Amino acid sequence: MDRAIDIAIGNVGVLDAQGTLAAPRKWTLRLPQRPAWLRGWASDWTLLIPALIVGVLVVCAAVPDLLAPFAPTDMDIESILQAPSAQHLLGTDQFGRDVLTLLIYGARQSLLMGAFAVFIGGTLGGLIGLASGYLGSYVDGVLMRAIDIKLAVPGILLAIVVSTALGASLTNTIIAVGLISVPRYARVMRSQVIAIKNRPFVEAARSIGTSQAAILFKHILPHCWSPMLVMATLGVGSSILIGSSLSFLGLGIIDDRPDWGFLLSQGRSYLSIAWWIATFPGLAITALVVSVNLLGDELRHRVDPQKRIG
Amino acid sequence: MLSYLIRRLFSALFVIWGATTLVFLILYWLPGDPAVLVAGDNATAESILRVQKQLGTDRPLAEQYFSYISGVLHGDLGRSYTSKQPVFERLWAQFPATLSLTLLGCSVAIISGVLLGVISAVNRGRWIDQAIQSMTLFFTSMPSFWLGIILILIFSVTLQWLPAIGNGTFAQLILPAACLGFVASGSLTRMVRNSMLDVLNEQFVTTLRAKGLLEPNVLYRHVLRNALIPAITLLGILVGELLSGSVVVETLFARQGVGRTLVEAIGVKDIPVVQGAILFASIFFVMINTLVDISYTWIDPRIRN
Amino acid sequence: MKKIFFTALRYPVRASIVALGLMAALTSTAALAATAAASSGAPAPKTGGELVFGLDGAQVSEFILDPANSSFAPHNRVFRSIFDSLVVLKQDQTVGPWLAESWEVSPDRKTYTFKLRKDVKFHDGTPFNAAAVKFNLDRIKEPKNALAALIDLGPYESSEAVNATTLRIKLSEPFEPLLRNLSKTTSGISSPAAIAKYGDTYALNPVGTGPFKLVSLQQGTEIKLARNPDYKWAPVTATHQGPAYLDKLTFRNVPEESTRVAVLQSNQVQAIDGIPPQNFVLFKNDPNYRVYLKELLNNNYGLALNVAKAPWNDEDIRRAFRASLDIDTIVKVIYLGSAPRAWAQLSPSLFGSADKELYRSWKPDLAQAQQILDKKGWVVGKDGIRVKDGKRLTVSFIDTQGNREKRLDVIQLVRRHVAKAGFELTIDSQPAGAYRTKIANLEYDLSAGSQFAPDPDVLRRLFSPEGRAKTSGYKIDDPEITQWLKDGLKENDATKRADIYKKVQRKLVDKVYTIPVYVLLYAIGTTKDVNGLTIDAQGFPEFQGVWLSSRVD
Repeated sequence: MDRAIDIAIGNVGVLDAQGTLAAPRKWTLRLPQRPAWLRGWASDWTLLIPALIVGVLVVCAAVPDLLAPFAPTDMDIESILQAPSAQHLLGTDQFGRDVLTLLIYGARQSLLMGAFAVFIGGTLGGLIGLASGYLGSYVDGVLMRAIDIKLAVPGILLAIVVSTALGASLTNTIIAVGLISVPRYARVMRSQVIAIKNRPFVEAARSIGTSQAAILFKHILPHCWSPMLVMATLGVGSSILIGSSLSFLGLGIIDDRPDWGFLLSQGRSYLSIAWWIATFPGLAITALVVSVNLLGDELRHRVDPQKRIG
Repeated sequence: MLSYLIRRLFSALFVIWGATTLVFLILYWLPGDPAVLVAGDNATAESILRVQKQLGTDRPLAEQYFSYISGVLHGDLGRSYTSKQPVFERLWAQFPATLSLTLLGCSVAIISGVLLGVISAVNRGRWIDQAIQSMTLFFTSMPSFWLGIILILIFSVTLQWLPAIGNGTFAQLILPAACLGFVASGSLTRMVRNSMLDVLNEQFVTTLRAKGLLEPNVLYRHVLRNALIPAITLLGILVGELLSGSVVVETLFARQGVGRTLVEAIGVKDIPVVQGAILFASIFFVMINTLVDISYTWIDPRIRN
Repeated sequence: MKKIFFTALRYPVRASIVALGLMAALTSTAALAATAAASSGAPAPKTGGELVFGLDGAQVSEFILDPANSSFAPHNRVFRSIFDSLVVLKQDQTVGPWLAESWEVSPDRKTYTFKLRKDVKFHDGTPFNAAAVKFNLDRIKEPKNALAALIDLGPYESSEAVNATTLRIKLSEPFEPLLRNLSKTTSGISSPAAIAKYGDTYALNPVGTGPFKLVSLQQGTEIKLARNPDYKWAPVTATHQGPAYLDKLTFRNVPEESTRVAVLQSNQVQAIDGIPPQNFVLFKNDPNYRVYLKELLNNNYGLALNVAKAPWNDEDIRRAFRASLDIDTIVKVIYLGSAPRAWAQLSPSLFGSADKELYRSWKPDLAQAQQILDKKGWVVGKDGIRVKDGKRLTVSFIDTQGNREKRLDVIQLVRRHVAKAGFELTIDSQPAGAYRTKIANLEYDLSAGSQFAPDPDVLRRLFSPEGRAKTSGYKIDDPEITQWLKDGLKENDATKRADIYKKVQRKLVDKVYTIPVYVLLYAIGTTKDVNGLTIDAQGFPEFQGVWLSSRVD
């Protein structure tokens, strides 16, 4: 644990032997040439498609009532557990709710959960990692031991404590999931900062009398976005999944507008007789995770200073 | 070297102490009186008071804390509030199931992660690379209970190859370990692929090639060796997380486990059991991470200094 | 024989079958009748074999197998195989002999003299006698032991082993529930020698006189039992006398319902309980399986309104809440015909139940609900939720145990229904510890639950402030009900006693203190090789008469 070689848990974040987070090569899916009218703003199909998916999901989250064919609270008890049909495109659940409608309304909870948990984890973890890596010595020792302690305490305990003490709500789940992910961001950030701060160009800046703040913000931070982005894009999906696991354990939020993780969890016992209840929320999560990751790859490609130079 | 080991030991003890103390404070602050639960449904006000006295939860925080710590130092983890069983016995009974699941789960993750990562890196840009990348993202976006149910339906119900529940035999371990392993292997695959690609671009590889070493030799003796380092680091963290965090898989596959015990104990505020489980988990976590650090030096001699 | 299972890959086929099945279930009441194994011309029972039973043990990973200290129904389902009681409850709801051959009650109803069987011994070889029973009862009575069964003994004062086979129990006042309570699974008689030997950990080393004895226990997941070869004291109700047919009986705790169904389908276990309603219909229509349904004698699952504080301290608001509920629909949608709707607190077969009397005693009436709330000054706000003096009409439902037996699904439908009248219902899921603390501190508006019991006195434990625990979700303090429940303890005329409890149940409904929801039918599914399974009068499974037919491969 004393190493610069630290990495993230679970859903990735990855450091190579030198302690920097390796940037995966850009993916190229072999798709047909993009049409001419798109060439101006979309560089690639691999960017366009995920951007479209995320765009649609954001619209769903913003104005679900305009898109959804029904209200999320509509329970048509005459047609429970109906297979997908013209009337209910994705079928109905055990209460006779329209699955498509639930997905559209659930987008808001799920996106909020994904985005804000990542925001909390990334900000806190990033700051800790930055302080630890840049200041080094005692600060580093204390902060990293604290992170180790946090890692030794299982995340599930934290989640239960938050939901017991503060009550199960979207906000509290976001806080819990965010806190759980702090150590991974802190470790990645720290090792990245350590790797960068000894590079010649930082030394050079220091030797010409650049202020600490300027070194930190102008020279070190820009090199840290790339690994943090990998973590963050993967974090969106894993946050939703942690929420889903909490639902599995009976500690989820039971809302009129359930998030995708909850839908997936409640649909599991119907898998053998009404596969659509759980499968479509599952696909929605997958679509979001894949899209965000592809976008993240692209974004990282653009913000990485080394790439820009080269 | 000796001073390094002493420093390691000191920091390991600090982490274990910190984790148990943190959890002690959290539990103390958590609402709910364990005495109410232990005293049972027929409890009167005075029987609750009596139970509080019996459990020692009526004492001030500091006193409870020091008596706990001194108990631990004397090798006494206390007794479960609910079953009165010694905590050590209770956890020790659950431990083999947890340990075997964690180890096999990690092995599945490492083997499939490294294998797929290598294949992916070697075939970079080809269809197989893309297929593996898509698959890993797919696994990454899947909750473990969901994958577990699908595994049960396919391998246990339809094909009838493997048992779905219980722990004890190796066959009973396969599905849950696969479930844990596959979910974790997604990240590992990406990591191994990326670090392999980076190493492949480094100068020493070019040098080796120029010296006339055969390609497989370069790949597996030199490149993979370097690429394994992040994989092993991940293992260190994964083990800690799996040890107590596999409650979902344990529940789904009806297995014993420290994770389930821990979650249930938190639910009823069975403080000695929670504390004991955290102690187990943190010791294991620290041990594995120490091993991980030592294995770096074994894999990559450069790190030794 | 290779069974043909619906596979994960054949969803559409399954779906249509289920749709048909569900419709059939919804329209037929036949699903409510216990589906017993066809016995005409059945082959002779065979000895041998192992039955593995997948138990719905909920999220509880700690077996507490001390009968005197468990009110958790899943563990009680194991007790009948390890422990016998002094008396047995017969299907006609009267009490019959078991370990006690006969008994006499003194004219003042304060002394019970039991004549015990003399040929009974515990699994550990120690003899069953009056002293052993006395030891059991005294142990329960000792407040220091804080055992759950304490309440079953009521005003128990002492007992005396007159001789080896005669036990005299002394009460400080008449207590009519005593015999029925002694028939409970929680009144199973333990070996005093084993209790002395194991002390605090007896709950993991249970020793009784039952048809099976403990072989090994894997905490939280597996209880292995083997036939007790000496067993020849089955109760009068048993379909089979003498030792059990099965060599081995293994209970495995499979908390996840989709897993439980899967292991039965793949024959990894030969029986499961807690079959989810959606799968119940499938198993029922499949000739490869047998299903059993039997009412659990119960204080029915119902909504407990916290009448100790606003808004439920106002009877009119409670009435408005109830009027907005369409319980018939809720029960049908959630349980798909595998559970009937409840009209009274006591389940229909339980002695003293007012289920018949209260049938259709109230009906959903949304207009009435809205009218009441309007009159009380609760105005419909922008989002449809009513507001008064800046306060929203919010009620907080507290729960633990997750969606066990689809109970949170019930609440989700309740939430929809009451929203139409302008109530906002929030769901507060808590772990067991915090749940009880919050209930004791009145930090909730609505709770729900059921309590198994063979005697109507269970009402006193819930609806009388003198009889109930602080952690009970019911906070009713109605002097008339309290008095009736006291009277019920002493009334020894069966008809009059039943009338007392019917009066109580009627008032509970009239005053809208509670809203009964559904009658819990205990459901078991087995493969068709499992014969002779029975469910006792209280709704607990019996394995002594179970035998396995040889498989036709």
